[in-house]
Amino acid sequence: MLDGSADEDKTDRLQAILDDFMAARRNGETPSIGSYIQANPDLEEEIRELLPLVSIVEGSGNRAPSPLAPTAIQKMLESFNGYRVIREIGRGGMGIVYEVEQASPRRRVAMKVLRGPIDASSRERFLRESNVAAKIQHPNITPVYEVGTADDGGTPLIYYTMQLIDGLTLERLRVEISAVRSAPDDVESRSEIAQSLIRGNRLPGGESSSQRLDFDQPKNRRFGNDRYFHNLAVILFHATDAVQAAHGNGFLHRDLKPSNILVDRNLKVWVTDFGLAKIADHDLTKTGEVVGSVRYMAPERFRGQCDERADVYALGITLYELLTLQRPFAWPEPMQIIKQVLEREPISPRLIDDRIPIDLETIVLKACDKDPQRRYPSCAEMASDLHRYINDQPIEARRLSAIQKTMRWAMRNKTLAASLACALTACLIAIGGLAVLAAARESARQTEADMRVRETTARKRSEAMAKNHQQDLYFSEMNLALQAMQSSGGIAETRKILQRWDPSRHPHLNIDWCWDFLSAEAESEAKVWRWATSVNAHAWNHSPDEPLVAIAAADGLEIHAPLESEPRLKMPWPGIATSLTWIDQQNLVVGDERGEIVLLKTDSQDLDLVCTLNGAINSLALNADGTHLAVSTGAKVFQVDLSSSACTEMASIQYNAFRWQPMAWSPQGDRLAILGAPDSLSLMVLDLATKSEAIQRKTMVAGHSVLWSGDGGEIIVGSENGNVSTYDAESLEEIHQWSPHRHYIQSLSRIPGTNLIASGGSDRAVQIWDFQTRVIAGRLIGAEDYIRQIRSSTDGNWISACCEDNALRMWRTPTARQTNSMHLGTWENCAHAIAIHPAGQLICAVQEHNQIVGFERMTASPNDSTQRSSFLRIRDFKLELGAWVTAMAWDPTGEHLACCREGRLCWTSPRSSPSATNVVELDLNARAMSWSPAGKHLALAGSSFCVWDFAQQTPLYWDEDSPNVKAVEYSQDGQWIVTGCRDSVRLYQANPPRFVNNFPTPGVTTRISSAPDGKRIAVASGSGIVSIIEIPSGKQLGTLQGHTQDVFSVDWHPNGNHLATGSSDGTVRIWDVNSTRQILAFPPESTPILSVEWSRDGKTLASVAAGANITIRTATNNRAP
Amino acid sequence: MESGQKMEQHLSEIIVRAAGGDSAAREELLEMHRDQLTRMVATRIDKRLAQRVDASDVVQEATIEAARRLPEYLADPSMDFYLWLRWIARDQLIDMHRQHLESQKRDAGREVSIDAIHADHSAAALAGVLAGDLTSPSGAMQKTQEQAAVREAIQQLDPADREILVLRHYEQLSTRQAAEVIGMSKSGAGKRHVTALRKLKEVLNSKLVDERA
Repeated sequence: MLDGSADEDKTDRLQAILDDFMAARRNGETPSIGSYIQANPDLEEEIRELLPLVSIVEGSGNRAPSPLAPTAIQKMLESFNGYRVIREIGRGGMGIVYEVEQASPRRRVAMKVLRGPIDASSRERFLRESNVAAKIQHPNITPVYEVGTADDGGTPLIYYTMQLIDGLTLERLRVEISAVRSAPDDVESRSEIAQSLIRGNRLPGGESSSQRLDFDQPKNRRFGNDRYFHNLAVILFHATDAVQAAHGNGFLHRDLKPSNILVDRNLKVWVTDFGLAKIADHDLTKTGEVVGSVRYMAPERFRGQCDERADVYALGITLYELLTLQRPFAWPEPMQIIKQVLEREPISPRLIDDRIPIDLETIVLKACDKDPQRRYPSCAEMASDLHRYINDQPIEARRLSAIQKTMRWAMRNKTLAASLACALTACLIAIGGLAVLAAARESARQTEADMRVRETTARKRSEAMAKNHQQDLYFSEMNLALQAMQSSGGIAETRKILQRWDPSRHPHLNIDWCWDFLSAEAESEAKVWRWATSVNAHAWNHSPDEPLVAIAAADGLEIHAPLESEPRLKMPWPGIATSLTWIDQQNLVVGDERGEIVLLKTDSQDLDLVCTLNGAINSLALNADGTHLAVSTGAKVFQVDLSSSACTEMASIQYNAFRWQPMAWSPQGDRLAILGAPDSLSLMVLDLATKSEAIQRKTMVAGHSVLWSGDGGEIIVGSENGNVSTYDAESLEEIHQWSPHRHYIQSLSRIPGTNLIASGGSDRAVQIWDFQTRVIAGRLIGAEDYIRQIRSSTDGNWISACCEDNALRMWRTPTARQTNSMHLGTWENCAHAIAIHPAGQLICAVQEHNQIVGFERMTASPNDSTQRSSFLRIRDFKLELGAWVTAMAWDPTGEHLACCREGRLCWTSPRSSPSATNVVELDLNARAMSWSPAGKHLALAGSSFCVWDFAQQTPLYWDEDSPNVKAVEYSQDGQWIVTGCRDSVRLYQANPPRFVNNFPTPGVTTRISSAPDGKRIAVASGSGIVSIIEIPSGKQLGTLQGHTQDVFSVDWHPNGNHLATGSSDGTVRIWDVNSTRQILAFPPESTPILSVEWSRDGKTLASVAAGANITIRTATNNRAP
Repeated sequence: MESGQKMEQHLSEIIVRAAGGDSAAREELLEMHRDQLTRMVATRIDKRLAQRVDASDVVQEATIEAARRLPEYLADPSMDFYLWLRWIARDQLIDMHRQHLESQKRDAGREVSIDAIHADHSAAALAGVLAGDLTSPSGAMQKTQEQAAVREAIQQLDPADREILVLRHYEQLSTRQAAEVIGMSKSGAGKRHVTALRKLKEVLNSKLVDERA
């Protein structure tokens, strides 16, 4: 006891010393350690140990905000230069732009301030920028007033001031127009300028001297949307004209983009930020310095060339974006954008929106031609063409013919050369053929029949070429559809693209797995309701016969039946209804912002006040037997007895970090779990039966949703970092944790009668996962903003979510057959190899401890809800291999699953009793295997290469000369075996096995896959390249290039047209083999993809990311064959 | 210690004046904690968000929110004022993470920023300046590495240990405040602080051994 308090005293004194020491240090003093020891000799050891540490730790933190934080800037400018900062307008390029008030002359101006500590080169660039900008005088170029520096003895600050433009950048305009397009009824909420451009009169066609775009008498013969295109042309004309004037004075802009062109309230166009301009004869690009925004940079700039035509190009891309409201190069990564800028033609604008006038499309495509020679030679010509367009005169730019397009496209895509050679030949023959025809007719030496044959051949070939063109476009668009699906609000875009490529519209094209897969993904959403106000909460009633959803929106209350567009009940609410829950079939309890809790009888619409609490109600939760409500006001949680209306305070929330309170009753109804009490990093459980004291624990991150497991033994918490933690309900010990989401989980909902939980939050997707196995069994997309609340109907058939965009979205709960994407994981044992059973429903994986587990897809009918409880049956193959399993494969008949490990071959059969494992010892450490198509032989490769007769259990062939083999594959016609070594592949005849030939390959071979026709193989290599090789000739047919790191896996689709690859760069990609084009690149996993495999029917693609997920993607093909 | 008490007294005077409707006092109340709040936000802000938003922006929004809710606090000022502010700022930060990182961050990732390189350089340089009076760039570099090593070592600690060090040294909370935040007694928090410092020392020592080996 005495020791205890002495200890206490010591701790307190030590803390006081630490506090004092820290305070002194923070004041800039250097306190002496000795003096502390002198005053506290008994603490000498601790002081000597801890104080130096404290010094180090204190020195490692961010001690102060950046010296150039806005407050500091404001103060500095005020005291030195008489500018008062009013607000920040934007950031970008190299600085921050403020709106400031100048003292004399008293006016508001825009000020650009260089950010961060300034090195000499930045300063030089900035000063040059402002000097150049100051010299240009043009009515459509923002004038520079002053260039200056401010210095308070610390960090010097450089700034310049310009005329303040009260207007919109074209970038912002594009966003507004997009918003109007997607919600045409909402034009009023858009800025005036955007409105004028959409609905206003035509802007007058520009005279070069015109400085302002006054409204004029409409002389248009065009209507509606056309005005927008016309007005856009006028804006671009003025911008181009201004840039042209600067060019005339020897200035290039070099950083033109939509955010540097503004339209003000008087509809005058301003080109601003002649920021990176340079005097043409003083070329900085020689230093190889790339400045500006990559997206708008002309291809030649990456080669260090830059002239007027680069500005033409940037204006072209700007016009492209405003016409199509899309980015021509839509990749997120700068490197990918650069690649696209260099290699890919943007999609023709009219394919994106056929309302775009042909002439404008022609102007755009000429302005952003990749070849500067083919562009407008200067802004003057571009401005002239825009002027002609505006005044309804014929433009001078000519459209490219199909043949020109093909030739240029071929020149750009060198990898396509092989397949293109055919197309080009075809096209030359077609032209040549016609000439011959003419000659033939003239000389009349050819018979009619002969001519007709030639004509038909020529036509067929031209048709084939057009088809190639279309196919190519299709591939680009599929990837766009996938990208759009992952971006905010992109699902509508995805659907639009998919619709464009509906197979019924393109009977001659090869519309493939990619379309099927994306369509199935995009169409899972059943119903969307939208409100003008926020949707605060929703709840499902208890009826399995007729599920109804009640919705509390800020403007009232509605009750809907799934799929019906009209509400069953719609009533205003006296206060703002914030939360609600059903008591039974007819009765709802509603909480509102005034603190009232009201019982609503939905049939008679009678309202009964239950009670009034002090403070807005933000959440309600009803216990299982419907007798008690838990109610949160954000500050306190109450229990309300519904029979007596008695209110009891249960917990107080010290500071409510939530707009709605996560809380949940145990299934038995005796305990209540609350997150955020007493603070936002706490989980508290109140036992209401025993009235014993609450138990609580700290969570390391803030949880935002809470649930009980069905048996009440566990509490499940979804957190802001995307994790779900499971706690023991008695001890609150954490049992396990995993991450179904990458970010912020806002809501969890258990699907009644199943082990499935639906979760959602900031990543806008609802994930459905099995609470027991942690298999992600489905993903519901469509939400365009983050998900606030998820609820499941009592019958389990519907899942709904209210989102921050004021919409309520509803999906049918997917069943096994409908599920498109499944993620098996992340669990404790991660897989590294997979094998899909030939029948397709069973997927086997080798887990970390070398057990083989089978996931069997349940093939329940979609309406059988009892089967929904488990999407998958898990089968333990009991193959205890005891060592790292290097390869695994089903034989083609599906009778045997074979695995290799060091010196051993094992196999089992799905039919045999579970533990019947067969093992043979081998004189070979195999790392790859391949079954012969007949299933009789097994090729094994590793420390050497052998062909094993499976029926006889004897080796058929050994190749001792071939050590260190990395991969092996039977050709699918059974004629050949190919092995992959360090830098070559070796070809063997299969029957009897005999070495035939050796072909070099780039880099170490990692995997080989045979085409279904047996005539081609795909060889994946460590260099990131996949080679397509013809066998037995060994001729290189092409290479697939796109992966940025080692390709570990490749598999040929059964249709023979596609390949799937998996790489160390974390991506799974799908390719078209004939054109060697990449069709889809799925978003990267955080770890390398070790394995990819198609199912035999070609519908399912399974992939394994190292140490993480098995992903199964299935295309549900609902279209007619 | 004495100055600390004075501060406390000054603070409670201002709170009383603010509660009485003195608007200058209200402003001062929020202003006097701005730096500390900025430090908290700078410590906890997500790296991706930090490229877009200054810590001071978050603080700005938090103070506006706090000003709006000040009457609520003044009605019952039992909680430590700074901690109350901190909760609001933390809440702002959570919201911002959510909104920015998820809804618009995609674009931030996409925007090709040549500034990104500048930003990294300047962050390192800034850290160097903050580390003390440095005369040579190489000295700054060394110091920067040392700071990085300490930050990395702190990352390796148990979450509980890490949290107390962050609260005490980066956010500069007092023992009492830190205790309140993590829900412990004051002496418990004091003990944890000492333990955490000792664990940090172990990690740093083992790093040193690794580097020499």
